[in-house]
Amino acid sequence: MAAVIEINGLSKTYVQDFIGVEHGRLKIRFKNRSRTALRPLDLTVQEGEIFGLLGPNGAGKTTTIKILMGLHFPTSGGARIMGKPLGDNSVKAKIGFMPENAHFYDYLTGFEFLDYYGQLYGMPKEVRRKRIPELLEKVGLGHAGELPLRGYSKGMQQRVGLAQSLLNDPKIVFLDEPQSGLDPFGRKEVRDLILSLRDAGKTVFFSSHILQDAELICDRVAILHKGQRIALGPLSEMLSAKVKEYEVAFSDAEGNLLEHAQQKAKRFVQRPNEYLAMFEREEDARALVQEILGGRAKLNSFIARKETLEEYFIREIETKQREENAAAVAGGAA
Amino acid sequence: MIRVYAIAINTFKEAVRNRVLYVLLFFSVLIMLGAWVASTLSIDQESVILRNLGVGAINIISLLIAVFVGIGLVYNDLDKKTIYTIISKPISRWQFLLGKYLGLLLTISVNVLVMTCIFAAVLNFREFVSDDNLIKGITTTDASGGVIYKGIFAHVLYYVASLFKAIIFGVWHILSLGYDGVAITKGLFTTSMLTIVEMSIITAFGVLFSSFSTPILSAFLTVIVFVIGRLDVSLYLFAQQMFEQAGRDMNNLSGGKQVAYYFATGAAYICPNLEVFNYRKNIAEMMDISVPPIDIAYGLLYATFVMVVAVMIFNRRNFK
Repeated sequence: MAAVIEINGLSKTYVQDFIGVEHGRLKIRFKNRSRTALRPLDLTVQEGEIFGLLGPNGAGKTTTIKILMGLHFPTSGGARIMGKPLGDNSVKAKIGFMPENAHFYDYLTGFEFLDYYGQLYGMPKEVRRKRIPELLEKVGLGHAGELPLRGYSKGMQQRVGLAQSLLNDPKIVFLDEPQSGLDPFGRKEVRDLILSLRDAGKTVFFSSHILQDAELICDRVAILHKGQRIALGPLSEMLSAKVKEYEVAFSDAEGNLLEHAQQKAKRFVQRPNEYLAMFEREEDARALVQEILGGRAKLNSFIARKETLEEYFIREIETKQREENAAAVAGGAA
Repeated sequence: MIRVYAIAINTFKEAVRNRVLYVLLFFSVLIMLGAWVASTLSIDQESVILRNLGVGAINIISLLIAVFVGIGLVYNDLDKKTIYTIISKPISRWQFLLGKYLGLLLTISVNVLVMTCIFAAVLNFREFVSDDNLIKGITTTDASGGVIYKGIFAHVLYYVASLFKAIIFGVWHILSLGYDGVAITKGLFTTSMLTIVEMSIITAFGVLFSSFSTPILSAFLTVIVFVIGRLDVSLYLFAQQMFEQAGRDMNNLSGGKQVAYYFATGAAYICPNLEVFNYRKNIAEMMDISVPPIDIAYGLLYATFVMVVAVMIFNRRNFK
């Protein structure tokens, strides 16, 4: 597999230089305020993988994508897509991009809109005629091609946004928060679509703050926090090693089994028809299961609860926050 | 180039669906009708006043279209993030900006032509319903030579017929380019073409300003460029006169006057001289118009220069 996206030491600091009317007043500001959106970031995305760029709001996800799309210029560092520098039109012809909450020309119908964008790709008329109805069908807008975009619901807008990013049958698809504002059903559809893109051999690079969705489909993820990469790797490696707890569910307990369980368990919960014992160590859980299997109770389930991406995420960010606070205190003391 | 064309056509479509455009067109009709009413108030200057105001209206309304519709359309794409999906297509930034500009210019040109047709119709209508014609149209003569009024219905019919005739003649004058042969609309087509050249500069400024500023400020600056452009020669002469009066020695000028001198001279040099496109007086007095080709070249070169600067700024910009 070849690396299709290489990001090397990419950083972005926004300086406010602004001339304009704001709140009815003429304002002129020159470089007196700056905000670091992205600290030097290194990333490599392999061909054919689904890569998730995750992080809370303001982590630098959108900034990264904007730089990759040539909408913003990096303060330092750089990136290459398919081996070519950013902004290269031959690369742009082979990628698709769906921004978050973009607004399209709402006086155009779905078909007209895609037809216009097809022209921007330089697609000949016959190709557009054939490709657009297929695409509309694919994103579930087959019925709405002749309706103006202003009548589209939020979900439909999102779909037409997806459709425009797939017009050129791209090799890499960049999706910025593709699931934001969608209902659970719509989110599942987007997930399925992303998986089908991967199956068709495309690379998908998407950003999200909805971790459950990312967890279900990503091959690898990077987690950003305040413009800094705090984790990177295959999801399986990030989470599998960390079984959070072992949960044993049983019922109809006899004799002192209940007492044993209560003594060893980290937590013990009594439900109307069953007991739940949570263990930190695998041996303790195994011991209880063996006792149960010895015929002293009915085993309902035995689960090794893995950490979810969300828990991992929150833990990593909290660790980071603590480090920062400690550093700040130390700095303050000095 | 196909991409620039696609953007230009889409911009035109977008402008045509803009309500502001129709409000402005409606205003142009109002101004021309108002000019007609005003012209009837003067005894011997009727035609001069009407022509003056009519050509002025076409000019001002095209300026307003360039400013309010033009700047809005560029800003909308930036503000609503539509630009994200356009720039990420295999399109260079200059192609986007050029496409927008040409689309706006097409919009303005079509509107100038429509307004010129309306104005030509107004001129014709005025001719058709002038006192002499009116009397001929609504009366007949009986056998004994007495004049008979044909009645209110004939009166109304005469006005309606004149209106239709005026519209047909007006459009014909402009579209057949037979402008020089017909005294009544003489030179109108030429001045409208010059207005389009003038607007190509103004629109370029509008695009330039909106490539880095907010719409309100862009509109303000664009109008300022227009005003200075129209006063360009006067401004330069004003500075020179001040300099002459000081005996051609800067030291004789007070601080304030020195600032005024440099400001006036600087503004006159930087801003385009739009006065070269203004033949309103010729139209009003029904004089011949001859446009030096160098003026057209000046206008187009100036617009190109402004667009190059706009592209240079646009190329470096982060889209919020």
